[in-house]
Amino acid sequence: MKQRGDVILSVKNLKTYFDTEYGIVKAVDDISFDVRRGEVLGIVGESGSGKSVTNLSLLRLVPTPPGRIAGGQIFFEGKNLLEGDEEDIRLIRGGNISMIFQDPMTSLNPLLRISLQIAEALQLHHGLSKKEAVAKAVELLKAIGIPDAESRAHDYPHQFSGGMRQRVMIAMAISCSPDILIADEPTTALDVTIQAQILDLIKGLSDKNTMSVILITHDLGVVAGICDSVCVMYAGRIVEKAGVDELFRDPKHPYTIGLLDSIPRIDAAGRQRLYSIPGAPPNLVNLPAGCPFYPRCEKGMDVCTKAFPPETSFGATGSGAAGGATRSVRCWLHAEGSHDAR
Amino acid sequence: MPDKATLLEVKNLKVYFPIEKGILMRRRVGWLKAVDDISFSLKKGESLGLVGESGCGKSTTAMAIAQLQSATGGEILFEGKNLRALSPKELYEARRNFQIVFQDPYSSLDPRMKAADIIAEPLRIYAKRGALNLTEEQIKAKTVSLMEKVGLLPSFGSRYPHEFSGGQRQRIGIARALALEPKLIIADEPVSALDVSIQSQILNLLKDLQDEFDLTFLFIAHNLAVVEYFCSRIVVMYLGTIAEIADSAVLYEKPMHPYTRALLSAVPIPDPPKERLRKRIILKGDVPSPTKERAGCPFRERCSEAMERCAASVPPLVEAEAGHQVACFLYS
Repeated sequence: MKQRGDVILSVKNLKTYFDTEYGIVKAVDDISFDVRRGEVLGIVGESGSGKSVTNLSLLRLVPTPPGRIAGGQIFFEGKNLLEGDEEDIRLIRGGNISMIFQDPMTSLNPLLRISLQIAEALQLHHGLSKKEAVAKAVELLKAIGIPDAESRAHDYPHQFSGGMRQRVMIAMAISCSPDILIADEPTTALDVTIQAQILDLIKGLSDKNTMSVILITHDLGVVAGICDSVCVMYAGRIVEKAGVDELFRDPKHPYTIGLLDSIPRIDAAGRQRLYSIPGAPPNLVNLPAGCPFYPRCEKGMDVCTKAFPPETSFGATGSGAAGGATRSVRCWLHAEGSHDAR
Repeated sequence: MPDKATLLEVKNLKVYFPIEKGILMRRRVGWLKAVDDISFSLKKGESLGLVGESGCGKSTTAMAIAQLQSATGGEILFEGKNLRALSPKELYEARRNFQIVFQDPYSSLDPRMKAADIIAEPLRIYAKRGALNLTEEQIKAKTVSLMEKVGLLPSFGSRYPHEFSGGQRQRIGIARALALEPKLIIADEPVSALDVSIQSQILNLLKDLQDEFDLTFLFIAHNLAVVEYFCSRIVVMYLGTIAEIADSAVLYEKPMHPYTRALLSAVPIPDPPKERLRKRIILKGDVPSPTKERAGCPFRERCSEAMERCAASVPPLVEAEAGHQVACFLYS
């Protein structure tokens, strides 16, 4: 029986590279993480950290060329998604694993009625007739909170507001009851009050259907609100993994610490100056050896320029659906046997 | 503490856009009331935040103040002079006192101009028209000092915008706005296109510049946390009207307008245990279309505390407590 908390997706040593005229861009470089059934996993990072490429890689949607998956495995229910032909992955996409994107304005077809767009996946994956599929689409729109769903279903995308379009995207994504929903910056284009509605909806669906969610975002506030566990990415690497409470209470990696200190918060008492991480994220072409964060790190040591730090685990932490998730960090400050160095 | 002098006063500002129909015979069928009768003032040296969601009229307000958008009605008094009543020549003279930093550092810099030329352009224009008495050498020296002030290496002056990162481009935009030593900076979403780690660099830079040059800021943003950090006073807008004006600490501690309360409760806080305990006010539906003719309070359809009188007339903006104005019948 499928249990909440079981590992459902396991990414091992994934490498996604892009061949460009300037050299190889290692957009995702040797990352590993697990997704558990029913959990909301956040992947946070800034532009260019590799968070979106990670998720495109999961469904083999990386544009090839110039992109290519240069190594690693992605196990979904024991099967490696990186093996097998295009037909195999097509059955997974939209069926077992589905995706919603940042911009609900451009990810819907402007020429098709909403009902038909939702029905498409149902016809393909569940073999429903068009009529049955459209009826199911209306049901989904009701479940997702579209008022007056019967008549609105036959509208075109331009007749919907931004928040409603994102609801339509979600309806489409959950139409085949996926095990995993990948949400790539689902609320970045929306206003805060609408963001709250959409996050509420995603969290509710995850709880109700024991659906896992991989939430990609740059907003640590959003992570705090709905995630169970978090991976922090920097320059194509996962630098820290933790349960959400641990990450915010006791961040270990200097990048995570800096990031948390540099966000303005509405609950901050007084108005002390924000911390700011000096410099800018590195160019991913021909990254130097060692830790990519070293040039911006206040705690840099000699060893940091020599090799990328190994993964240091702190044992199992986490709570709820993230129970059993391991906490780890990739930083020489925490590497075993390097305590003498400081 | 004596009251500081008022630098900018906006009185009953209205910006309407006509909605037209017809192909050969264009006729006006209605108005889109982007900004509908708002009034507020800005004291010298303060930073006033203008917040609200998309379509609430905050950017239109800013552009109307900057005289980049013609207003339908009202007065914009800058140092006591109504900008709307100035002749083109007088307006040109006045303009050097208010400059703008734009949202998108990618599209607000001319891709074919070098960074130093972009920063020097306002100086050159005013020097050419004789409004500034600067030689080309002095302009170059001033450009170098501006670049240093905003944290750019002067040697980058010969580079083109595409050679800079987003944060650096925004620094160029800030240097350009500072070139004429303005009194007021209108910053329209200056950090919303930037990454978190760069965002705090730019916010801190703007704060330092404000202290150094005694600048007054009109700061437009949709991110309440950013506005709360940067501004001393906040104007909350909804559907072209002002819902509430208060000091930023007061606004967070004691929001009065039901819309402000919902807005604040929707802002995520990066603290998981706190987030779980928070009671979020989830607003129903979307912001209504500003093209619709309406009576009464613009927020009443989404308001959980709407009363009969809310549909009958528009609540005026009244001072409910000292320095705290709100437009809601719950308080009048």
